[in-house]
Amino acid sequence: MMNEDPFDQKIRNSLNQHQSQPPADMWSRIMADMQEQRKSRRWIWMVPILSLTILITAAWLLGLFSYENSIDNIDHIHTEKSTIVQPSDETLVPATHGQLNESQQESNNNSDITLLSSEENDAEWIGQEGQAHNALLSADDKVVNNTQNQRAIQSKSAPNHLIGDDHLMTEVEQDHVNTRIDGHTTEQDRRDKPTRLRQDESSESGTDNRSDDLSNQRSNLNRHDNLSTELADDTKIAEVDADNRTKVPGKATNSYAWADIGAAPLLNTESPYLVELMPAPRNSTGFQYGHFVYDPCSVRGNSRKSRQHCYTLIRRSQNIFADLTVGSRYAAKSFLAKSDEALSLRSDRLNSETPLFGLIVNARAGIKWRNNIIGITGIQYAKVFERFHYYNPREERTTLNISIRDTIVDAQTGQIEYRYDTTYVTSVGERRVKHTNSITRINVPITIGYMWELDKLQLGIHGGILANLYFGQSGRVIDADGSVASLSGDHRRDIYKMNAGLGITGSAFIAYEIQRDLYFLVEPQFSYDLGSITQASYDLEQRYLSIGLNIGVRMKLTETYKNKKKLNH
Amino acid sequence: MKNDEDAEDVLQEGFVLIFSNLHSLKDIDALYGWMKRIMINKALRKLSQQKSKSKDQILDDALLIGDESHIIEHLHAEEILEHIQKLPEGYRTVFNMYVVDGYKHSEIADILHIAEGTSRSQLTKARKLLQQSLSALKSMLI
Repeated sequence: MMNEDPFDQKIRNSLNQHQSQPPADMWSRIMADMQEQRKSRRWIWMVPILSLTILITAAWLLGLFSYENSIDNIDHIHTEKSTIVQPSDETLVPATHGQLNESQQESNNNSDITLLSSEENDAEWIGQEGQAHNALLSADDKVVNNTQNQRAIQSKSAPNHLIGDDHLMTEVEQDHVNTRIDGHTTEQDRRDKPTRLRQDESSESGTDNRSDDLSNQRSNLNRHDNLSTELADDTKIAEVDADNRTKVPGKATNSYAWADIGAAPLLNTESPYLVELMPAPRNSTGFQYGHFVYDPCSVRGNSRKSRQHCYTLIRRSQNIFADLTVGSRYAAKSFLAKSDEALSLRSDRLNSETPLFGLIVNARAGIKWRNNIIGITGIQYAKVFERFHYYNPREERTTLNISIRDTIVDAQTGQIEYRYDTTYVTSVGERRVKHTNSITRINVPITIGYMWELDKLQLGIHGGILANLYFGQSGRVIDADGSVASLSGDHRRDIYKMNAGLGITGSAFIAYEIQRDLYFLVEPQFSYDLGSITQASYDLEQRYLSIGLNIGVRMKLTETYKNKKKLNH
Repeated sequence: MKNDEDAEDVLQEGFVLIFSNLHSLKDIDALYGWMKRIMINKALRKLSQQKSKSKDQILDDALLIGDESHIIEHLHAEEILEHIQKLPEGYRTVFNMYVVDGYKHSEIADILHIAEGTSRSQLTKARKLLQQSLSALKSMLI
């Protein structure tokens, strides 16, 4: 105050010397207040934690736990009409191994038969109006699943497979068995019809075990007899899948360019980083060509007038903050049929899939410049749950039941003969498949926006791109042929891309300062897929529009730097 | 503050705030200024909560004011404070911030969310009113 009013000066001088005594109990009052504040502060922390807990719990209770998966089960088939039991058919089975020639093996490798392990709980037999697509083998059920088409094929030429309670019989062993079903199937027929075989590794190992067992039988008749008795009690299960299932296209990989989200935006215009070249030490065996030096100061100006200028990593006018939010969201999807033929698929999928809810977790950092512009980036984990509900009132299933009736062992040659009974059972009824589908994404949002800061309040909007890092899915969908396809597991139908690509996102936020530099954040947010998330070969284009509410905390990091002394000398 | 009770409240709340946030103070050299700022902010908040019910006096600009500076020397600090307390709230706040606490008009305008010109005029009017009050005291002494 250069030209200070003398009146003001005299008042200041007289007041500066003035001292007044605080009340005697002031200290105890302050201490009591602080104790009170500590207690209330605990509750402040509880607000976001409690909110998060309620939100997550409610979402899970409403969505996931209210809906139990129901994979197709024989119990869901209400056998209403026909049960056809065919007369048993005796089959002679020579048990010698090692007589299989190469041509037989080739024919087995090309078999049309689909074998699935009984442990494959997720497997399903899927048939609609006589079409078979997948097959379920259940040792417990002791049935063979088949459809009319399958039966028709099998009645002519298809071989069957024998499956024990513990393992599946391989095609090697199977082919070696001169099995005749309904008096039509011959070994020659099987050779004439090239088939494709899919078989679990477990079944292969089962084959090896069986082979070993049979070899041992030759050398030990007592053991041989025991096994024979055991086998005689077994009911074997086989399944034939005659459907030419659509070949799964190769996984398309989409890659996208990534924006550099490094620390560059935090730095001032001139880089303070220098690379200083240094000779490598004589004894060094490494590759030390230099070292990285951080020098915040540099000399600016000319020879007459120069001054040293130093950088600060973050200017006072730049506020850095970090957010951690959790949210719930509703994800609506849109389908676009690529052709008229795909319209029915679009309709089927829309009718069978219902959005449930989604969860989203955001961990990100942002910067606010002096002009209130903000930039935010980080990592986002999003999971969307959907309900899949398939219902077919005219489901039809034909099962083939093969059981070993007799086992005869030739004591001289060591050969074993099996006699089989075959039974067909046709069930007609309704079928339901219920499943909770999920789509998981890990994204990197890069957004810019505007923020207003009031006393304890922050208001803002921001939007930008959402780049997908990971995209995964599980569950069931209706396929183009009306069957139910799995999105995960060994027999999944790859209809989605490996990467969802780019999307757009936007949100508005309100943040309230609950503690110094700690804000409670509420943020409505949306995101939308710019491109289809399905593969190019799939008949439909699919996109998601997600709308949700995030809550969490924001921490202002600038204060850490704010009180640092200026580096300017 | 206008009365001791309010001043004690501000003192108490201010120290609670200071102790609660002492950990966030990185530069110990800034302690005095930081505490002063907290106390002033607390006082201002208290004042804004009370929000003076009575309207500020309209001063007669034509009032003749003599040189009252010398009389201050004969007064105790308590008596000066007493006269300052009699100022309308708006004037008193600006006067205290400018004269006692040493804020600039731009800073006062920023803190109180008023125009810089308003801060200047409030200070001028506060001075006049205080001088008027002291002038009356002077005539009584004579």
